Amino acid sequence: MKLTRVVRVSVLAIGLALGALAVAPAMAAPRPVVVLDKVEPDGFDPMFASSNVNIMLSIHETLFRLDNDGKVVPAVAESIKQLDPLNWEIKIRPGLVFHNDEPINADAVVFTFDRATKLFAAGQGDLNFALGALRYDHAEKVDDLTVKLVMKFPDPIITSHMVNPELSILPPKYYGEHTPEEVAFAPVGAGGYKFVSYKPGEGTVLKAFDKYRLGKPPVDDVIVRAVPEVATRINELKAGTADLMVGVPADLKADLESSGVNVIVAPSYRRLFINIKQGRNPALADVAVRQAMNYAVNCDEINEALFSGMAKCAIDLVNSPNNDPNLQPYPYDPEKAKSLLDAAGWVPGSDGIREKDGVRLSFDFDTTKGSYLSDAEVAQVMVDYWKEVGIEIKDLRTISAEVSSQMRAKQGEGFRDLMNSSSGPDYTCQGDLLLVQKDSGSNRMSWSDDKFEAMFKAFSEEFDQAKWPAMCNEAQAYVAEQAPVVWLFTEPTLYGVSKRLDYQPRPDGRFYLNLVLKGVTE
Amino acid sequence: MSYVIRRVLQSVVVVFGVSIVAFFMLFMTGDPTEIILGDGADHMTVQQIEEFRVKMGFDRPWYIQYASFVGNAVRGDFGYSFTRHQPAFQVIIEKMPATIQLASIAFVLSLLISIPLGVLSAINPHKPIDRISTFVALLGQSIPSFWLSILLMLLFGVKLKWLPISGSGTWQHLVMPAIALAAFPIARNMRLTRSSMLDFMQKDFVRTARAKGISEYRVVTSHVLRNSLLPIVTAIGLEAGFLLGGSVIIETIFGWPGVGREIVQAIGSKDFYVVQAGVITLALIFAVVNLIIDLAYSWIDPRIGFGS
Repeated sequence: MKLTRVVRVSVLAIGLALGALAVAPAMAAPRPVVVLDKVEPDGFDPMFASSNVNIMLSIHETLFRLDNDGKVVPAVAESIKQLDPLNWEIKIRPGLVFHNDEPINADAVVFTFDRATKLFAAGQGDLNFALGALRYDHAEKVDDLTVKLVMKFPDPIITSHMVNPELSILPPKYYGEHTPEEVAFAPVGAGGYKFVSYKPGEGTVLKAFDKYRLGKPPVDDVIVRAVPEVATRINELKAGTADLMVGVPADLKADLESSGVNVIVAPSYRRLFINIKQGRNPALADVAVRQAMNYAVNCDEINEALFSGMAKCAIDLVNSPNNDPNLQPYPYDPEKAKSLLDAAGWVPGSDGIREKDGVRLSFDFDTTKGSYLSDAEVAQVMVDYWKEVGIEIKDLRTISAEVSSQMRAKQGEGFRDLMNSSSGPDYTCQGDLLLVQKDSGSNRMSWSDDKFEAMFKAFSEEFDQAKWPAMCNEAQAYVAEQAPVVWLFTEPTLYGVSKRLDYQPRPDGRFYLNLVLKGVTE
Repeated sequence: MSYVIRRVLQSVVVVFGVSIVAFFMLFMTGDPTEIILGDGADHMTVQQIEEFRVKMGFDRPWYIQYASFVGNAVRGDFGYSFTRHQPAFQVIIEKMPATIQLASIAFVLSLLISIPLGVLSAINPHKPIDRISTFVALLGQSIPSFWLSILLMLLFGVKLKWLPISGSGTWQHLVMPAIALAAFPIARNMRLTRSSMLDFMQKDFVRTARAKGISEYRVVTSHVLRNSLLPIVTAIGLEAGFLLGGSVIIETIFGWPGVGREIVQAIGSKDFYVVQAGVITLALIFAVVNLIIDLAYSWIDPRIGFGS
């Protein structure tokens, strides 16, 4: 009897112990989410670092920021009011604190803008882009939660210029007491994640900030690791040692999925088109020729054949949500293309290539290889489409991404008649239209049109936001009709995501951790 | 002594040549002002761009810029990294330990595997061990290191899950990059050891040694191997350069935080001062190691004198 009781107690004890062991892993916190980036961070001081914007906007917070739909929304700022063309009043959200518990208030905002000004004047930091966009003179404290921002020039899209991470709001005590060198890898911000540690090769360790303005992010622990090589990132996902990567090559989608990794295909803001270099070949100055080149291309067929329909054919000069959804892409209509060319005086020669006054309708074409999805293949297909309507590409040159980027840096100098190109998002219609504005560095093909310039000037000086959609649509429609480029498609972005991670992609492809990581299970 | 001075001067000429290439690299790829500013120039006025050009000294004639570049480089001043916001040379020096760690392990690995295999092959010519070693050497020399890296990752990282795929922090992180980096030197040194050993095994002094009744072990180690070392040492000297240069690819593939990956990242971010500092530092190390190897010849083979 006694023995039986001992056995029973022993069995019960062993059972409880085993039960506890079985339950223990289930109760343990999930292991950190590992996010793969391409490059090692060059520091976490937002005014000094440019390459690691994803981590930066996870640690820091700006006055305004972009939500997951690409809309500019208030962040540290609660509201903004224009006092006159140059003066703006910004209200700060009450009750916010930085990671070190310093309060977020007007002093912090004024300190941040002053620091940026001083660094820029001293030629320090990486502020060319941010301060080139937001042309402020100075910031003044009105009260604890109110700041007056005095601009040098009127700026109707001021809030979109405040989303740049360089102008993240910083705690004045901490950053005032330390040199930029001391804080480079010891950041204190107000973003969804607190910085824990960083070591090259091992990654940046982040912890969810429980006093974040939007509440504690759903994923507690994150490690962002730099893995430059795409094949290595793919293998990390396959091995289950990483949870997220952006930019899975389309041809590896099936391979990754067969290894048990989710591949999310999401629309992006990356727009691809063929730039038409203005002024280099007189034939391209004729809008009828440019329109014919658009009608001759079957974008849907390219999309199906090369991208399994993942891209989106569109006239996408302006990104969602500012674009005109009613603006239809040029339909594939080779007969229309031919009639336009006929009307313009270009008649087919003996070999089918059109001629006018003894000059052949013949261009040269630069394409990159590997810069965008199947770029060289797309270019080859375009050559065939144009040949069908009597337009010859006498030389299709493949150039490396590096050479292409140098040519782009010099306003497209060096490009030939046609060149493939792309553009990322600007989040405002005014910003997107810079792609074809004559003085803009973004206008790589030097397109210049007086009517468009007049429209753009009026639009860029208009403060009444109610008028913006109509002005934006009018400008888009005009540019679409003028065809300064051959419109193609919006490139999809492919994300590799582990099965345990709940992830919401953003159209700009960035992974602001507090916004895109929705949860994790073990 | 004159030989030593001559070799030192030759090394200086090599580094000087590399400095010319590294300097003009910045100009061959376009206007350095435009390259460095990149998209940032979109929001700058022409005047601001010109001010930047003057501030960086890009408005001066190229020969003045080059003289200034060399003068500063001699003092270890390669300019300021635009992305790291610290002196470019410091960026490279901070990454150097990781590269030296990887290259050293690959170096030792290559010696530990290649020389014994080469000796085994040489003393067992046309036997299975020789054929297997020769086949492995052929593979090692033929397989591109980036492809071997991917295969290693797939086998040991993805399939077997024995080793971490990339990064650093533990000794396990070193295994695959070191093997991938050492594969080519292993193959080359193994073949070199084998052929050199086979050459010497036909020599009269080896036959004499055997006739004197010296054990085969001593014949191989003291007579044949010692004499076969000279061409191997030459190859090892070149290997230092190969391992440092090869680390650019291997470090990038395995995410190893060394100089090679830093240079690749700097190229991508147009941080040319870091690229220049990295290229010249690697060239300098290569030249110094080769110089040391040359000077070590006389120790290995006393018949070689500096004066000859």
